[in-house]
Amino acid sequence: MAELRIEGLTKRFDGNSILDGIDLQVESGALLAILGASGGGKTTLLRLIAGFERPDAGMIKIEGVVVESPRTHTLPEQRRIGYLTQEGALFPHLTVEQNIGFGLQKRADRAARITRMMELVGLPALYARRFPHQLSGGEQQRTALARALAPEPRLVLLDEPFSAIDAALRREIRRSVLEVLKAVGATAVLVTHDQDEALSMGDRVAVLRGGRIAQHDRPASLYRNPVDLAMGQFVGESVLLDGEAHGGRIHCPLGVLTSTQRIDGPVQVLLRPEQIRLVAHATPGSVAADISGIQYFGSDVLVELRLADATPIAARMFSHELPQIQGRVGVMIVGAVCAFPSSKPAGRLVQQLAG
Amino acid sequence: MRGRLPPALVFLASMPALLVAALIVATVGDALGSGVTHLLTEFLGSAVIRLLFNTLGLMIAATLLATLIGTATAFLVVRTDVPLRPLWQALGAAPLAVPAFIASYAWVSLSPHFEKFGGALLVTTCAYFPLVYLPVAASLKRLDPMQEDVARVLGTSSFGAFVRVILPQLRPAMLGGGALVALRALTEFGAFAMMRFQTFTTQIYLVYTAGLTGSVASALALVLLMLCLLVLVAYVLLEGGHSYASVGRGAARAATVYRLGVWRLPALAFLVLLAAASVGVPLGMTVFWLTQHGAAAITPAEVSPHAVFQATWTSIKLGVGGAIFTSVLILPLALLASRWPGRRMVTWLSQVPWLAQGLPGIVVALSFITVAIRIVPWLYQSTLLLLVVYAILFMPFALVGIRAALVQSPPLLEEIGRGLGYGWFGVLRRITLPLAMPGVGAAAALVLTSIVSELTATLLLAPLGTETLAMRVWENTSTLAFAGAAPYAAILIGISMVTSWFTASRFGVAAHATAVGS
Ligand SMILES: Nc1ncnc2c1ncn2[C@@H]1O[C@H](COP(=O)(O)OP(=O)(O)OP(=O)(O)O)[C@@H](O)[C@H]1O
Ligand SMILES: [Mg+2]
Repeated sequence: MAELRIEGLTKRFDGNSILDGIDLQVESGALLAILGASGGGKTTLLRLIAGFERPDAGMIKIEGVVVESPRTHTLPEQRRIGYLTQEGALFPHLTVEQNIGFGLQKRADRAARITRMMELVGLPALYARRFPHQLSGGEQQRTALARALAPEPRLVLLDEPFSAIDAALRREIRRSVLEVLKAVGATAVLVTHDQDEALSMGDRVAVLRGGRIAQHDRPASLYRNPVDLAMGQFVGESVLLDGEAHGGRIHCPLGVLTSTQRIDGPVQVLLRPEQIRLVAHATPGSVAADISGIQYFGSDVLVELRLADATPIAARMFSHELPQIQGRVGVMIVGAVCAFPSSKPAGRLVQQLAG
Repeated sequence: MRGRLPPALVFLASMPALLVAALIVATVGDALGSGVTHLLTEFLGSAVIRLLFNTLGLMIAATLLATLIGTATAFLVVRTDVPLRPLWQALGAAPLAVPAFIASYAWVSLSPHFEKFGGALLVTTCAYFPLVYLPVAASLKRLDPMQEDVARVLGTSSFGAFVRVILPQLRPAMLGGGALVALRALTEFGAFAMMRFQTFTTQIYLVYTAGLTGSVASALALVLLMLCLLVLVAYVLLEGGHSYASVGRGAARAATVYRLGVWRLPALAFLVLLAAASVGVPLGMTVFWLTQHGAAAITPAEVSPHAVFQATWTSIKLGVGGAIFTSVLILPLALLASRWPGRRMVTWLSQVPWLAQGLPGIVVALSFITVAIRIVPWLYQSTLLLLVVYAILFMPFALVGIRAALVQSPPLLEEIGRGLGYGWFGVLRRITLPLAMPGVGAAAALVLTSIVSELTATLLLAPLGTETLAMRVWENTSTLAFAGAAPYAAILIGISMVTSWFTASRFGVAAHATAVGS
């Protein structure tokens, strides 16, 4: 497997800039998850890498060789890329084994390779003669993965491959796809608009925003240290408060908090609902709050609260920790919080809960 | 309306099957009764071999050519950057509004060189390539463009992707369209007669009108019937029951439009030529002869406005009568097929109109003449007999259209009606039919178009003194009075275009190409 390098990639459709100078690098054998809103140009980026479209500017290198630049354009069939789409796009007129063998035309080990791929993705051998419409959505996606990996591509592109699979099955398929990709040591680019998917699958996550890569980081850093407020809200559930920072300490309606970065002046504070702990009312060091509602999700719950000055906040906890108490509780903050410079004067407290 | 099949409805729905059975029994019985092998070998001898050679040769050539042209046109129009695509999309279906014998008239009157095999092949191909073009274009539009992209990254060139991914998925549409072209080529009469090209149909007509024994005509008809059945059987075997159910939603992204580059102009020239041959010449020649004085043609003929009016009126009367008769005849079957699908009885009965697509008009007409003369003489030379024959010939159109209309009206409303205390007939009258009416109307319009452009059965069965537009075109062309034929041809094309447009606006143009087996 090979490393992928993208520099200054730009694409316009009818004068609208969809991608605007994308720089990315994926290490050999790593999986890069690209997270972006719907219509943000994720599919366009993958189609440029695959060679289906030509960029207006920029360069793409696979394994150190330029496959795309203003002067070079390697045809899709010569790039040795695996492509997995949302719907799988299986050939309906071919059986499972013919689908998987599609890219193995001239290989002597075709039959053996098909069997091997079916084993790898966990398709029972007796499915070999079935047609795609005789498979479930998950089986179709496994077949498409086997087909993409069969010719030993240098790079695998995954375009929201799990969004057509129902939620119950999705987690399992995600894990087995990840295992298969790691088993063959694939370099992969996965695009998705699902934060959980990007954070759980990517070795690195790049966030595509306004046609640019707004942040490119390890999943934990992205979640913990977003580059700006909007990024913080995009990658996970957040609680926002106004505050005033002095030398790493932040004064806000939740008391005095520790900031992850050094900052001074009026700030907006971003913290995650799981950083908020509920304790008995009037516990020393806690701030009083009233429970205004509870959203129950099975394993965890989101407790909606109001501070004394009516600021709404939310706390996430395991459902077995759900307090029996109603009404007034105390809240305490665990860990450091993010703070971003605010243009608003401190004191006028505008808070919101973002999901 | 689930539950038991109402016996009265089943009885009515069996009428088409009974008619077709009667027809086949009559033809086979008549031919066998007089020793068909004896007739064919002794009496007709080598003539039959020549007829077989002509008929099959033309059928094969026309089917291959029409499939090639229809598929190429569909691909150019749907997937390439050929100039004026919307225009060609519309023109691709237009030849269906021009009856083949009118096209034949146009070519013959253009030059006497258009005759025999070459002329017949030209006219058949131009008239019937839309039967391939329409379903293939529809299939192409349905294909998931992602499949081609995936094929590309798996290492195939764009040509390879076409051959390995697109073409196999067009196969059902090409086969279905090809089978229809083959059937039309076998059963066409007027166009071949005008081209002086001898096939089974023209020979049967000749034998019959020459007053030779009816059993010779029946013997020939039996052979023709067998050929048609062979085409149907071959279609079923080749098609193999595959229709490639597409997987997933697909088609989220517009399909790649292939750049023709230097081939853009040749492709455009091809489409221009095709449109000129299939629509331009028939319309152009008709208009040309309209402007000529009656004496300008090889045989002078004066056209009286009265005769034109009479023929138009007769054609419309027969068309409307036939459309209503056919719709009423097929309605019970359409009801069964839409409300109790899957019952074995219903499946079998629904196959009958499909079989009727393989029945040549001349064979149907002859066998009913035989039956009428022997059993119910008062029916012979009656309008009713003509309407029955029309109904048998055009049942498939009516069934497909009416069933589609009925399927669209939700069974839930009928269940509510039953809940309100109506019986199945009350529900039918008060709910089902009113809802399905627009669709039934469109299907009837398609039958009307077909009847107005029908020539063979009309020639043989029209009551004495009845003259339709089609018959007038035929008579005038036979005597080379091209200017005399023009007004009739023009009105015929006009009616056909208006009714076709009406059907198309309701069902989409593909309704014309009632696929075999649908
Ligand atoms: N061939 C094209 N011609 C014109 N505009 C296009 C074309 N392809 C994509 N676009 C536009 O580019 C934008 C980005 O499209 P793209 O499919 O890359 O988004 P995406 O991030 O994959 O979205 P989604 O999550 O919905 O799949 C959209 O506004 C789309 O309309
Ligand atoms: Mg997309």
